[in-house]
Amino acid sequence: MSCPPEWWVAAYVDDGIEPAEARRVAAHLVGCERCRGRVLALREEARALSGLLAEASPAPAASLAEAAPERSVAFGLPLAIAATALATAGVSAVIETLPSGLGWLRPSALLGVNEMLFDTIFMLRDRAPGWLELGTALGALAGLAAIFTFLAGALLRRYAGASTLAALGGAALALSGTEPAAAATHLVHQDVVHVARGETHDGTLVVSCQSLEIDGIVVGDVLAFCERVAIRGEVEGTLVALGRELDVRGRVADGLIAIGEQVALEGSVGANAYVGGERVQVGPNGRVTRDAFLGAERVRVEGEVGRDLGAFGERVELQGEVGRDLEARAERASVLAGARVGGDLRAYLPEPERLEIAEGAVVAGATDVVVLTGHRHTMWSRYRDGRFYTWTAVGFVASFLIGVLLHTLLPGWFTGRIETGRDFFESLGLGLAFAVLGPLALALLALTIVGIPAALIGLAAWGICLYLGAIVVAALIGRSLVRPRGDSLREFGMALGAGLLVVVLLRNLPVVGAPAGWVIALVGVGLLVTQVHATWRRSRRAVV
Amino acid sequence: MTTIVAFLEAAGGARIDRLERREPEELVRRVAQGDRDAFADLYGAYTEPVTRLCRRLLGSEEDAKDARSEVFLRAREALASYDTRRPFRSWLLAIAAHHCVDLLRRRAVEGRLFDAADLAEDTLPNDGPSPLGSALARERREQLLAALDGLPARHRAPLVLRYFAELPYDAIAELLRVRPRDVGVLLFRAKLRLREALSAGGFA
Repeated sequence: MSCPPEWWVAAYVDDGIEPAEARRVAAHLVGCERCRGRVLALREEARALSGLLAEASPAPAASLAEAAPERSVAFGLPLAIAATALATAGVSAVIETLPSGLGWLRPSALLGVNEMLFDTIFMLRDRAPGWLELGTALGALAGLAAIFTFLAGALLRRYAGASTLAALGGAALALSGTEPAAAATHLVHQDVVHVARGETHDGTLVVSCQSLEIDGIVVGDVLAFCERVAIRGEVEGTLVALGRELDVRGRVADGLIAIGEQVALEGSVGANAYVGGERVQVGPNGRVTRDAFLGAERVRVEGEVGRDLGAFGERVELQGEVGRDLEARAERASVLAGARVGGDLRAYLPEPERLEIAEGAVVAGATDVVVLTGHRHTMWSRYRDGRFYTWTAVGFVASFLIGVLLHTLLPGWFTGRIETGRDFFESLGLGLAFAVLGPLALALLALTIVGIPAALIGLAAWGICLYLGAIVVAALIGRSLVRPRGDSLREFGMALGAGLLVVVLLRNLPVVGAPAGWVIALVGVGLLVTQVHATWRRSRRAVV
Repeated sequence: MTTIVAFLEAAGGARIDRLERREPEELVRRVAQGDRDAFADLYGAYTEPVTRLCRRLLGSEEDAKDARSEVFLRAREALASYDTRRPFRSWLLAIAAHHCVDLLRRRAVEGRLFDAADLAEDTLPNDGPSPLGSALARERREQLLAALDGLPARHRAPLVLRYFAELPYDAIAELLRVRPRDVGVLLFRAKLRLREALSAGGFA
């Protein structure tokens, strides 16, 4: 299709043509960069006309102050970000240095926060009425199916013909007809799941329940999302478990990946073990054949680790045997009597005295204590490391390429503006709401079995949104600095590059850098949300 | 997602509603009952936007002042037909637009605002001056308004109705007595004139 005349595109921008015609123009825009540029320029013109005509004639003083709003944005936005970040950093610094009597104010140290989190999750899981769960699962599935259908359809139509589409459809039909009847994966959702002694379960087992007990044999992997998990039998694959109490007394032939409040390993793990929680213990009969990475408030190893042991926590204790090296990062580490480390012992501790090696303990290799000094060292040291600059540069290039790609695909995402302090805080608030509510909604989604993969995808999307938010803010700052002439790729690239430079500099400042990064991302997400909302409103108006 | 969007929509809408529906219902009811003070209040509250619309459409301050009193007189007579669920402001501005377009039509040759050449689609250039966009920064506002006043009424009226009164195409078409499709042509022709005027002044 040849390009529509400019006046017709202008009428499209103004919502002035019939919905059917508008859809035709929209379809043309997908494939025509020139017309997309026109739409952006015409929209900009329409907005400028509306804006300039609508405002009342300003008093002379006000007009002087407002004469150069774009420049003020250029300096104001980074300043606002820096100020907010500074305030955040200040508050957290004050909280960190609170006298011990007020320690309960420190958010990270709130007593029982972990327990409360688990309580909430399992309370919701238990109390949520069945229809809610079913509804969430169905909704998530339908949404995903719709997205994938749209993506596949759009891509195929774009790059292949309708005939390919039909052929693919036929192939899919043929495949679904010949598919083996027995699916290898079993989804189980009930209060108590028990694989009894002498029983053998074939295939992967995905379980969401209150209590999972395996006394028999599972020939396959086990994915468990349960309050209590007890493995006394055998798992002939990998065990992935999330729960409150995890107790592995039997045998796991492959790896173990577990997160729980209390994790106890009294049996054997055939490969690596990755375990996190509040208390993690490898009992006297516990054995990890290869490496073990254990992170918890309190880590205690009485059994055996075949190769390396990495232990992270407030308190790390070793009473058993480690085949090769032991690496401990802790507030306090103890190698107790009877313990044996086949290789080196490397400990990262606040003070050398925090490492305690009992008399009967054996460390075959060298013992090395790395003292972790205070914040001052860590704050400046990264600037002396060459890799820091390499990675910052790599990150910059990646952000730039992604930004350019995004601008080519979805130019509308970059039309958001921040002109007043109120805009800034509205965007920040929206972004904050998104950042907090997103994971909460995903956690609810994950309560349903079918929801787990959807929630994982959602989590990835959530992270991507935060990343893209920063790029959008960078482009905004860049545009106010460079003031691009037109919407060509070159002009946008210049603006984006300049903006990214500012953002990267802000982010890597000492102390305020980290909070500034968050503020930038949140403001960007807020802008995106506003933009999506505006698009939705426009499209709804076009249909009505 | 839909719920969230609906919530945002409601929140945004509520803010606009609060601004636009703050008092008119009460005032309108009192005006309908013959309360003179209430009409004065209504006049005071809306005289500014009405005057500005008339000023933009008619092109001069004196004409705008004359038109303003006429608009409020007409509004008072038509008050019975006002649907209180709609924003009062847009109802009143529609009356003002009607009145001013009538005036413009009376001024035009044979009472016709547009001739066939104005509505012709095929004479519109596809490579005219480029959109004003970022060249139209706020400091240019005075020049823009001057250029707008310099346009002939047949170009000025569509622009003001669309971008100042923010009327949709079909409403503009009804006011100007053309087809909705013609509104696009008229607007674009007017924009071309505006772009030319601003670049001829050395501003674009």
